[in-house]
Amino acid sequence: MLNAEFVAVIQVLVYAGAIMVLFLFVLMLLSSKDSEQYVNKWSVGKILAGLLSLGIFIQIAGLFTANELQLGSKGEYPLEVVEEVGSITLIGRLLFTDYILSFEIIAILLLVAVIGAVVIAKRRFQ
Amino acid sequence: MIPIEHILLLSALLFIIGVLGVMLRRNVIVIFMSIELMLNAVNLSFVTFARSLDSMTGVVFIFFIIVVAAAEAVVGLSIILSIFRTRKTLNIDEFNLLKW
Repeated sequence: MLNAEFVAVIQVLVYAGAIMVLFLFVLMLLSSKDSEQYVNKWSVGKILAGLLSLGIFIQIAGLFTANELQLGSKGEYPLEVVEEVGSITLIGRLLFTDYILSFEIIAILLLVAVIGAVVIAKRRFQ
Repeated sequence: MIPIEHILLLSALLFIIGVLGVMLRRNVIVIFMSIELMLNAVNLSFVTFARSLDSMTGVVFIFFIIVVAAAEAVVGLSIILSIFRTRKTLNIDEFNLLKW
């Protein structure tokens, strides 16, 4: 267990509650009748894509299973502290002290994204 | 207790599924879902590293990544919607307005 119950709840809320509903709304508005046109017929590109992603996977897996990975210096929140105080308390404390500037910037970003989406989707084309 | 290598390998596998989806599929909505899958794979490795290094910074970063992913989904889907109005297709090979 990773003791990240806040992340789990946020993930379910955002992805099942917001993003999936958004995708379903867009799929409802867009009608894609024939699925034939989406088949990639260029088989050399398929092989290249497979080889490239296999290479990326080998690189990432090699990096993740390397022995040097375990040598990082430990932080100040061991399992006992997280279980005693609770991860939500710790995240909130960090978010409103050390990362307050990032928090404000991300709030502005979300506002800009919502306004931009309304402006882009509202425009009518002839 | 699950060893962290297994979780990290799962995250690498999810990332590769996303990469393959972006490269092989032609439907722009499926490509968009694959991008979300890659962001979530990164989230999974962030939370694993945060736990294994006794740090809380990775979990705070996940918060920021989720917000950026949500903003990207909102703007991207509205762009797809407005391109679909002019082009009447979802095939990404037809979206060549910026090509000269």
